[in-house]
Amino acid sequence: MINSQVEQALVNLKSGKPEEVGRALEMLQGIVYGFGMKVCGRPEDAEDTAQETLIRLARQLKDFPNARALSVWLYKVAKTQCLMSRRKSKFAPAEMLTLDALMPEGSGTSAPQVKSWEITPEEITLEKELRSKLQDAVLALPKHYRLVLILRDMEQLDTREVAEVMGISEKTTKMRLHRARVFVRNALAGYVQGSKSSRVEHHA
Amino acid sequence: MPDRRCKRIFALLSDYVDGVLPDGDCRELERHVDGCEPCIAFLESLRTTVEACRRYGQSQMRSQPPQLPPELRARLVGLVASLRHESAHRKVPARRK
Repeated sequence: MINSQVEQALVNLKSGKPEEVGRALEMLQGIVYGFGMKVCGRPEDAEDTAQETLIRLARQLKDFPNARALSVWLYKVAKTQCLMSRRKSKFAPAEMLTLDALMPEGSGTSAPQVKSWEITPEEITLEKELRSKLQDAVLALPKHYRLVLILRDMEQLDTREVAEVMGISEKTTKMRLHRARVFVRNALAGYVQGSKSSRVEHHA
Repeated sequence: MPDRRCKRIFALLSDYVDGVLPDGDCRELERHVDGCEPCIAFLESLRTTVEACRRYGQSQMRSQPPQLPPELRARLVGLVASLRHESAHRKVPARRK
């Protein structure tokens, strides 16, 4: 899904008028800064990422055929800049997440250990505590999983766009996304729950 | 998700949550999960996690970045405007003599 701000920014950039170009740069700065905050978790890194990305955009400005092309280019450059500028993190995550490690413990006959979750999807308001736990969980993800989760579930790019930004196949994108989601889900266990009246929704 | 035999089903859960699981896999997953309370609870908690991520993403999009330093902003605006100007001129076909 292409952010409508990217569409507007492209129109403004193409106008070449200083005022509109200025507004476009501010819009794109906002998008890249937000992305940088999620990936790096530090304002100074997000700010560096946004500035470096805009400098590259201005230097290498080419005729983007549409907002999608600009969006993918922007995230691709921002991703690289963010990883390059990322200062030493307090987190030292393992590089690989395996399904075996992520699956809940339990055997076929014993009670499975699915921890209780306390709030329902309808009740999520992302109060401070949940926001903090979510942010910590995302930052604890190995970087290649973290980027896929942020691009897909937070920036709301589609699978193909995420694959293009990351330079990987759609299959690998989906695999990383699933493992990242389960990792975050496990980190939030005991805090968030499924709907109390939960049942399987049969797809048509 | 009681035992390792569930591993294949477990790997399909995100596609199911996203509504992109092929029909055959979808039926298999629903047969497996329906009536299994731990599986249903896990599936719902995964769905809730995805929703929490989306809301977090949206809330972060509304946060304001610091202003670009004025001199950098001016330099970038000038650079983009001049490149657009050059590009527009290059597209005009040369007149034949």
